[in-house]
Amino acid sequence: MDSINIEGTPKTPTISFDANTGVIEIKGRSIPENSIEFYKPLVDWLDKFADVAQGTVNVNIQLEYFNTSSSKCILDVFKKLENLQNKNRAEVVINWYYEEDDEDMLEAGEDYQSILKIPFNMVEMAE
Amino acid sequence: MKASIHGLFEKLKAGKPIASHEGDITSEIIEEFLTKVENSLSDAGESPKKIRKVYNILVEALQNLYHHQAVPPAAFIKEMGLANGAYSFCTIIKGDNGTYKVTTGNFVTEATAKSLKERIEQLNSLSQEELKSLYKIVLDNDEFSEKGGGGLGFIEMARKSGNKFGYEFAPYDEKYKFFVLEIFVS
Repeated sequence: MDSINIEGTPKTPTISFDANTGVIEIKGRSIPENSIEFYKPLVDWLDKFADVAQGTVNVNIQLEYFNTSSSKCILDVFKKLENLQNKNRAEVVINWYYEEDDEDMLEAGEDYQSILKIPFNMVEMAE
Repeated sequence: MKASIHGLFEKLKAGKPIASHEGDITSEIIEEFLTKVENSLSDAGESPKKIRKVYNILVEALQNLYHHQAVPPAAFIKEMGLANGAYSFCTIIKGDNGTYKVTTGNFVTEATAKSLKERIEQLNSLSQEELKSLYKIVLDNDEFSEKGGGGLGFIEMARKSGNKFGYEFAPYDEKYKFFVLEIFVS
């Protein structure tokens, strides 16, 4: 199946969803006014990916900022990944990156971790 | 009434606002506003942590205005000569004690004013731990409003601010009030 590659903008993140390598990345800023419009194709892609996924799916989330409407969409992405794991299609690991003094971003990752049943690695980055 | 609302805005941005905007709120205006504030705080040597808090709050405050711009009263549109019929304002000022104050203003109907007041007072009464729990409940409730908001904006602003909201519903006419919201980042 096709991969998704989207260049980041000041309001939307860089996206790289690769069905062959099983690496899924969201990086940058996610603060669009209409988050649903931006995330819908990604969530749809994950539905199709569920039929072909195997092995390990590595998910790298490295966000600098995200708004609250993105936060719901990101949860939708995680729920699709959780389903993938529940159906025993693949092992899913979420790597949640945050800058070393960004406690709020760490806490945001922990908020997701507490809602979901997939393993999270909290990865601190030096500034 | 034009004088009173425009005057309110003039009064709020008296001093040295880092950024302020009055009128229609578009996606481009939000982007410009955010860039201006981010650059200005960074140039002033503000800590990355505080810049992030201010930025996050501003995103939510500006996007609240963007999604919930009630059409102003017809008389106001005419008086102000608003070409596209939209009006709200946002300003950010740094106080002497280092606290940033974000103020937004927009028209709301009586019914909206009532529910907003209840919502703000509820959030003002919650501790940080309670706000965190509420955030997670609302995050996971699968609901989006028809305007695409997830109902999380105010909770997020309260969490990031760590201070109580200031607010006022200034009477306008029998149908509208003018809602002023103040968010403090210390």
